[in-house]
Amino acid sequence: MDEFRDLEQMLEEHPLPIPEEALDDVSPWRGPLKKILWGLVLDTITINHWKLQYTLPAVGIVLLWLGWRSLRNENPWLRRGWLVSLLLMAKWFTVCVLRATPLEGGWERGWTVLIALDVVLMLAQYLCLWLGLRAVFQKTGQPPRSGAAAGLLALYLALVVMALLAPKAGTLVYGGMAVGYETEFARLEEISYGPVDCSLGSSNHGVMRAEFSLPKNGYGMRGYMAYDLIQDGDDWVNFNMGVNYTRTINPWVYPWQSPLDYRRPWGVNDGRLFRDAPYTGEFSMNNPKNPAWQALIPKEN
Amino acid sequence: MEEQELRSRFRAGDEGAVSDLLTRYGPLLRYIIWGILSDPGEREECFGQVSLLIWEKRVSYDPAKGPLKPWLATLARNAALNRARCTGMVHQELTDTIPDLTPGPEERVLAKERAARIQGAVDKLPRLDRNLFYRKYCYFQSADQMVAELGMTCRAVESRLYRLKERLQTELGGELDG
Repeated sequence: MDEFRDLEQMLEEHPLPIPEEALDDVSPWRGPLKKILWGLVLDTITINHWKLQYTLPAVGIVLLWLGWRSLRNENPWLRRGWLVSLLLMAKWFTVCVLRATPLEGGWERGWTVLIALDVVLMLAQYLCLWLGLRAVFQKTGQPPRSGAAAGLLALYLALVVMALLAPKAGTLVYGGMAVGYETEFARLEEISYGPVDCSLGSSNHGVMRAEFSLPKNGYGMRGYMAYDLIQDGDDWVNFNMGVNYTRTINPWVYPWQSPLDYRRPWGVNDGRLFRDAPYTGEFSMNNPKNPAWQALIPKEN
Repeated sequence: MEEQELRSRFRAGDEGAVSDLLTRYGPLLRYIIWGILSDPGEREECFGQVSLLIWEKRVSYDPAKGPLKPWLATLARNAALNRARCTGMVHQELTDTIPDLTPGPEERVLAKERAARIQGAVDKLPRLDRNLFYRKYCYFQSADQMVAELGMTCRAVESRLYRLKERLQTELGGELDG
């Protein structure tokens, strides 16, 4: 490196004062926490277009793993978080493979177990993040600023409980929760500038925004997958030109499509159930009078 | 608001303010010192020295020149660098022949101008390159630390550093000849 000898000598002998920008940019926490944050964002929202429901969470899960990996030696909770992220990654890619098999349409019990596992792992991850960050602040003698992680845990927990108890809650409730998520993500992003510096809350850093307010057709929050746990015969079917079936779990009031919808392609077994369902163009697909919709109402034997 | 209050208490010579500053910025100062010194004992001693320096040099801090945080960070960095340099230095007896190394007024002005030129050149670098520059030439971090914290490979860090030095050399041009 002789060609830069003069430059290096000058920079080493006369070091520049540390600028404010460097203090913001250089932090051991920023990179890993940003990865975790983006991972959570990509993993929480689901966009059911252009196969993004598979690619975005896959990227998110890898980011989560990379973020946790850098922090795993900091304290036991962050290490547990890393292990949980490994399990999440293994589960996700297993699901992706299984979805490419005939099991996609059947094996309801198995899917329910996988979805329940997903919910438990996500909760465990939020818990590890909260307790891990708290331990970091305590270790450095700072007042703990891990409230954002606790907020995310509480929101996710609330989402799961609501999915189980009140799946058809209104737009306002879920809209409010989406705003809550965004706020907590923004707060967590502030911490990403590092527990090494507790004046971070007052700085005007740009806030990463998770786009939750996607108003129409086929957007969803992954947390709402928990609805799969309780849904049974409450589906409705979307007959698209009478050929392509799409099963949609819709917890919303008609005629709006939910931003919390979770969609998946119609499987073999699902198709069998509605094989004889008549199709008519007289009614819109969301109209309960549509014979296709009527066919879904469970009939007593 | 809190920062301003702390700053004025510090300037007024409030001992409690130094303690508050150390609670607030202690981890940051440790992070800077830890990157320069490798020996745990040296690190702790240096941190103690910095705590003392903050108190001693509080009069030289001019709020008009900028916030407290970069001032403290630079103070810690310089203390750690001095300590690192002293560790490798052979003990010499003081004689009349040893020149005074303290920079004179002219040298200080030149150094200031040089720093401004370098900062101007650094500002033109892309964000990641700036980050690497700060880590290498402001924080004096090792390549291993950069690799671990940035999640890059050693090769990627080295090649980026090479390119940024190339670019800086071109930008600074004649500065290096003088």
